[in-house]
Amino acid sequence: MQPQHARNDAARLRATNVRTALVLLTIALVFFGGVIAARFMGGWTTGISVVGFAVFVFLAFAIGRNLRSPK
Amino acid sequence: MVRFPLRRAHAARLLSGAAALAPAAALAAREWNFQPPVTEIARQQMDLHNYIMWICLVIFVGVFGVMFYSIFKHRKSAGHQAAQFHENTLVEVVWTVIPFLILLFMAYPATRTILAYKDTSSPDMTVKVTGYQWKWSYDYLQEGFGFYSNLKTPLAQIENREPKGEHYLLEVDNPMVVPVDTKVRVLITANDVLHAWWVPAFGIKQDAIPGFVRDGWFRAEKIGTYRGQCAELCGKEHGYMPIVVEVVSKDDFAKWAAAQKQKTAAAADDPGRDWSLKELVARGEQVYAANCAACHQATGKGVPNAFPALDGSKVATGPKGDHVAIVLHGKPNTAMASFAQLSDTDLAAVVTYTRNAWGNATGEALQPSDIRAARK
Amino acid sequence: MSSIPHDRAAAGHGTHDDHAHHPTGLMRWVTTTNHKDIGTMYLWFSFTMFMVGGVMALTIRAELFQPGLQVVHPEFFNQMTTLHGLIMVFGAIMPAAVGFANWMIPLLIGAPDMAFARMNNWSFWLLPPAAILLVTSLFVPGGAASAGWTLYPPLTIQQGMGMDLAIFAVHIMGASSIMGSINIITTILNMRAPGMTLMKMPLFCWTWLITAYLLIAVMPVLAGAVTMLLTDRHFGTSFFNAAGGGDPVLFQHIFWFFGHPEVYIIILPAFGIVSQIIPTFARKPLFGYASMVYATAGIAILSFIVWAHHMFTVGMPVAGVLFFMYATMLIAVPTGVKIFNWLATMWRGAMTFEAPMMFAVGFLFLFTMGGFTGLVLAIAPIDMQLHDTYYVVAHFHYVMVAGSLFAFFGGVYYWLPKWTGTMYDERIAQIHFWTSLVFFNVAFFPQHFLGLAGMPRRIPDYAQQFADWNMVSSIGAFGFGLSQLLVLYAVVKCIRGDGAKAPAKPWEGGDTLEWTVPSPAPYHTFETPPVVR
Repeated sequence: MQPQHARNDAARLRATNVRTALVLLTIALVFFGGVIAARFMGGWTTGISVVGFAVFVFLAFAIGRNLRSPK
Repeated sequence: MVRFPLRRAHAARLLSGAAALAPAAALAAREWNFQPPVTEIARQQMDLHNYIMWICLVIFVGVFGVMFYSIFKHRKSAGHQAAQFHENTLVEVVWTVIPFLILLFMAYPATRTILAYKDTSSPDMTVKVTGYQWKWSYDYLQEGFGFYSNLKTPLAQIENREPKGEHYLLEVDNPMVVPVDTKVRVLITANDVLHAWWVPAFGIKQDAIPGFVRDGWFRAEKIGTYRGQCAELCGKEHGYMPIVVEVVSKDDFAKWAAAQKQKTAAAADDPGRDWSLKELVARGEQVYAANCAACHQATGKGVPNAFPALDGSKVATGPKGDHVAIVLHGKPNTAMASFAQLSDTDLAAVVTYTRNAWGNATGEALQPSDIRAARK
Repeated sequence: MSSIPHDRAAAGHGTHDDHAHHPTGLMRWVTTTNHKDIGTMYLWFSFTMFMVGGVMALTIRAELFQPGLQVVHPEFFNQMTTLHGLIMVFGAIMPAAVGFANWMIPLLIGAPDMAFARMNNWSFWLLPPAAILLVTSLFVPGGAASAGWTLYPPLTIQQGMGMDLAIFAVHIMGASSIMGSINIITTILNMRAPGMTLMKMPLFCWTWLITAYLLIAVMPVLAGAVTMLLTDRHFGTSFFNAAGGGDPVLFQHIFWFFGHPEVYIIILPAFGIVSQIIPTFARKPLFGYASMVYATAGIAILSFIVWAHHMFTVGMPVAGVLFFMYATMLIAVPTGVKIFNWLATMWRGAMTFEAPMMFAVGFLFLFTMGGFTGLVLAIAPIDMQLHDTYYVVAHFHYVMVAGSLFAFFGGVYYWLPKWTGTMYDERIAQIHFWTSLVFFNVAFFPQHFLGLAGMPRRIPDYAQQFADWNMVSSIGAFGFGLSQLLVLYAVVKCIRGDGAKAPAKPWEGGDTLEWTVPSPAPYHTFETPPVVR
């Protein structure tokens, strides 16, 4: 996800943007469903821990992957 | 919903407060630190707080001393030229590590106190405390008696029609009584919503959770009367359910407990007895005042849009069975909770009272046996 | 940080034909997809809600002026505390932060607009209906929600229709926040000007990037929690009802799993603004840029493992109490790093003290006090005394009002010349700062004493020993409320063009991209991306 030049390649930027947005939206939906589902799966502590852990991994991944490629 | 009266008594208090006439009284209105501790835990909490406040104060003065020095010396109007440095690894490591070390010095005593706070083992006696909307009850499990503890401050004081007493809002009809120098374990639960049982002088605060029993303990070292309040929002009368604990000598406690036991035995009603309408209404009025009047009001008119009127209501003038069912089981999703914890006699009395008070004149009397049947 | 190129492309405004079709009047605002228009709307919405929530706060303080009931009934009092909390958090502070993000992030990273311009419009226009739901709930039978902004069951289950409206409002505001966050993350990741690497971004963009991640992680959790409340209320589930096998404490865990990151959602954008202001007025680069970024990320990560310090008194096992106490104390370390970095930025600078800098310095001073009381509250044995008292009320107003709000005021004065093209009235801004500072402390400092002496929060009436400090606090609150009319006056004055004309770069020390475009910023900026060295 390099910084793009909107003028030349608006369509590609748009596609990249949509991809990023979908990833983020999925996370939001998973968390919403997850926190309710955790209650039905028995131990809610387990559910919350899983969700919390996922947040870490995601944060590390999302930020790390952008840090690796400075221009 | 807005009321106006700023009563004369209040204007007077405002003036006297400003003038600080009596130094002692004025001081009492201006408390600014922990209440004097009477248990080991409360004393440790206070010491810990003082210790941490001193550390914070030293850091605060140091850090902002530097800031204000910089503000006065390094300003453009003083002709200071900006340096252009923007990092220094050594400094950055130092100010990460030093705060961490300071935290260790805070964590150690805190850990010690919290371990003691949580150690409810080997108590000398156990009292079960239950939070209700909006009162407390105390059950002495080993001694076999219990009672409710209601706010004693009259409505007239709250509504500014009378001058406020010394213990305004912190006084109850039946205080909890415990012996001095005794490890008392309190089992804390609630009947309807969350409450929290808190006595500042003992350093104990524990949420009361409906359906769950949590515990805590205290060992009061000084005879006296100690006051606290419910500390978890529990509805409209949240500010009006104080906690009063009287710490008495061990002898006095034994006498008090014996008297309580006797009273309980005497008050035990013959369940088979038939009550007259007049007796039921008289008893029902007391039960109503303690349990129902907070919402439905002593006038039976309720509060518009919040709590329905009973005077002339369909429930209080309709079939007896429905009326009893609502009182026993509550009404789901409303503030009307179940009052099944009251005795058969009390329930029969209060239902009879509401069916015959104000404009309601059904003339019907319910007997404790009716309630017993309805419970099944 | 970026240093500035020679790009004047922004000025090439008016040559594009798409400008010809702009609706005018009201429809311009309803249909706009322009980040500047939307940012402006967010800020005005936030200020309106700040006033509404402020009136509620003053109702509370009026009732608490003296012991006894004088002004309102207890149930109405509870509605006021509940709505004041919900409105200030979700209606005033968060939208203000999003308003700053909308206006400034594209300008700071050299992007022409936000990534999803139409979604941007939609995420703003969700907010007014949510606000209307909350405010009109005062008039439905049973009144508004009165269970506190934390919405703890079983009290929430007892409430009337007002609670359902509050739940729906939270859903809507949550959806708006999530959309806004997706937009901000996508914009920052994909639309930076060439040469602007992540580690060259102005710090405001970094703190907002991290805030947006927090929002995406926790707003759905809150939505889940209130959805469970809703089904418990109406559809016979018993997530939180012990009689049906549920657990009321579960709600508190879920709520604070959202609620603690929420605290940082509120403060991180403020950190970002302060990190822009201090270097500008010290005429010196920000000290320790990289460590600022790491400290922000550190705070965000820690925020997910400290939630239960809001619930030390529920009766957790002692191991749980110890874990959450230690984790919470650790937050002092990255927060300390940030404070020290700001001080080091000021150190040996050439400082001037225009209103933005005054607010930034006021922020530093008072936020640090809030930080210290936070540390005191983190110590579990002390928290057993202070939990749910006015000490807590004082603590979070020091971080939310003297923290976030002061930083936002600083940001408003800092960027007003860019937004309106007119310099604000320095004298009014200085008076606004000093009256806010003094009255804020008069209002909230005595609340520490009240909490220590044992006054619970959320009570409409209190015992005599709390009388004097409550009176002082109420006087301060009214002074603080009135002072806020000054900022309104200053802003309106700028909008009307009553003041000196602002140059493109009104602040000598400003070195970020927004100062390369004219003031007021043209409707379209950076249509050709600037080149960052």
